[in-house]
Amino acid sequence: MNCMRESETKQTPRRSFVNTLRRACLVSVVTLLAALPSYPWTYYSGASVGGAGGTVYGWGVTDVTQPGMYHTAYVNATLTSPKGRVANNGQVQATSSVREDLSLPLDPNDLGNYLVTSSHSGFCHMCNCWLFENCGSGASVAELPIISGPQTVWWFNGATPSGYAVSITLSAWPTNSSSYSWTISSGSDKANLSGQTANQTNVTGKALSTASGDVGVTVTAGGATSNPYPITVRGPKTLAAGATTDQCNSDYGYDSFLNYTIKDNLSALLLSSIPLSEKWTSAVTNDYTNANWRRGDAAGYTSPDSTFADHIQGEALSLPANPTPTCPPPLGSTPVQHWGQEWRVGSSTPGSGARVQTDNIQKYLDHARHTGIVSPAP
Amino acid sequence: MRSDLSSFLLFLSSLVAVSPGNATLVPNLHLESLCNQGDLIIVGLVADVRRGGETTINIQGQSVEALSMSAELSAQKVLKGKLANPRVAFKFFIPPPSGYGGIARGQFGVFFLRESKSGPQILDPYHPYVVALPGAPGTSGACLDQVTAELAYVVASAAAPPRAKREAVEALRSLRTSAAALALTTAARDADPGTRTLAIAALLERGEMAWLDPAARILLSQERGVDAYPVWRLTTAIEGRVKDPRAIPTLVRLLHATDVVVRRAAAAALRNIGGTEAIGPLTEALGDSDDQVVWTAILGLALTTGDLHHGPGAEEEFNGKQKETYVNYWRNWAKSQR
Repeated sequence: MNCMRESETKQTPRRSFVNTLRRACLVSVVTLLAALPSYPWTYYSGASVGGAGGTVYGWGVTDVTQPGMYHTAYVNATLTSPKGRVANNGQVQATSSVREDLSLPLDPNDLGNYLVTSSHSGFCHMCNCWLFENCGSGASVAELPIISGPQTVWWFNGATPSGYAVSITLSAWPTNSSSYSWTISSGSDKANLSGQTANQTNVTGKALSTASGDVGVTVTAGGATSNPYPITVRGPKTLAAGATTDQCNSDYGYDSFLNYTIKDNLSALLLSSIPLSEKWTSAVTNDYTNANWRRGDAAGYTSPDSTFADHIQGEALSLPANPTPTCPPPLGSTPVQHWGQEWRVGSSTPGSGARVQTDNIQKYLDHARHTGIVSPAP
Repeated sequence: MRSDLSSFLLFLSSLVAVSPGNATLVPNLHLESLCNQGDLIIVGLVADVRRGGETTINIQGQSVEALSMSAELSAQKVLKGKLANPRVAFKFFIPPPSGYGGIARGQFGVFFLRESKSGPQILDPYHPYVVALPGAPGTSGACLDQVTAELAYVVASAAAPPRAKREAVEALRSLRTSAAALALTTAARDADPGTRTLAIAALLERGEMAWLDPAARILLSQERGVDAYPVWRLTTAIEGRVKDPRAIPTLVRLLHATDVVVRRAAAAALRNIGGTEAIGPLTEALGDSDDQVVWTAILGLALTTGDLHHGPGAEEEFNGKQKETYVNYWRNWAKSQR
């Protein structure tokens, strides 16, 4: 070890004898060691940025392990931030090997290169000598700019229902950089950046994520670029068909309730209240000759909990209806009329919001169903 | 003969009154608003229904032709307003099919009316009344409390038909009051499986997790008499509302249900709960025969561990080799954690 240091002391006769004896012992030990496998003595230091909190870690390690020998390892490490914050626990020691760990918490205004410097020593008690002493090592790690903010932005194809964040604001650290450059590093087909002010930018969706966190946003500040910040663009995607019930109605012949839940692109229920609407996509086609059943207007509705039912009735018996709707059960199979329908979520205005399903409303004499269901239906 | 006809009409009207959930295009039942906005709120029997002439009414901003109807209500109790005569005539309309609730002779209920120039009219044509039974004891308090008491009487009555009880449970579900919760608790012990299931679903929606075990017993027993709608309500409540880690042992039992809808709901709840306690059950769900359960389990593992790179892609594209790759990855990951 080139950092080994000779110890120089003034010798007395007695001391000289002792030293001669020690040298003899050392020769014996070295002879014995030569017959043993060699063990590399090592020392080093390192640094990393860990965890979501951005804590910077530094460490120093000295290892003078050798079986059959009695060694002591010493290390004294120091972690220093770009702005001069210091972590140091003084020198620590242990038999054979020792590790000293240090950390500095994230300071968003103290980003850049963090340095670890350490001093390492190893002492052999058999020869009463330093194997190496005060050897230095160093390491560094860059604390990159950091992005904080929500990781979910909602998209309803332009609709803005209350209770859902259709625009989120991201902030960059440090806050005192002279410039910030924001980029969508992945998933640029799903999100937009806009409205940058100082160290902040807004993110809005333009298509649904296909996987969680598939939109990455980076910021460059002070010449360094952050790691990608994962964002998920969520929004309504499908209608999941639930139970269907049919029953008599004294005024309209029957009621059919076609139950659904609204699911987003992560297949989760939308649990806040959410407006939705239906829209007719075709004219009525009569399957029953001379049928006079009327079609109501498409309309909107706000679901309180992501569940809803399409409530379809026969026709007013008092019209008088032709054919006359009848009371289920049992369910018959006489079709009366059908037309196209689409469902959108995010707005109660027909035609607005994200389309989640297309189908045909098929009205029978005694019940109604959705047929030809396509969901998702982007 | 007249008695038979009345019974039949009563049966028909009770069927009409059942409103399973929140119908699209049909505004939700909002009893508090009905109480606040109603001028006359009467518990009584529809004694007569008569057809009037054609007219035009406004439905959600659209003018539509409708048939004008008149009915006579025999009042048993007045919850709000004053009556000079126990027989009250009121108007309602039959437009083209729009989700309006029907009113038939023989119907007994709590009717919500508003005063108009031409006399009392139905306040909310989608929800003209809620079910009630003759003989409920009189109560004091605010309108909403009295309406709740009428509904509670229905669910507690041994004489009430199952349909009436289910309708009462659906109405109580819309109320976030302690009295409504108490009535739902009574209904959750009802002999009728459908009533019981709907009530338990409503209680789970309120976050009352003590009802998860009874819910699991129903779902695992495939209890006869529970039709599809209450079961759908129950599985939806589990999927959307169960987020307490203490539910995990019960959800693990539900992962072994024969009904795939139940397994999907359990997997979704485990995914929503997340955390280290959910990892074992989610890993177990990787072996399910249903792709949707497996997809949910993989997403749950990815979200719980933060390893989004190994989260699944779009659900509709999740099959074959992609599925195998993800399942193998997470199985190996789980092994490495042991």
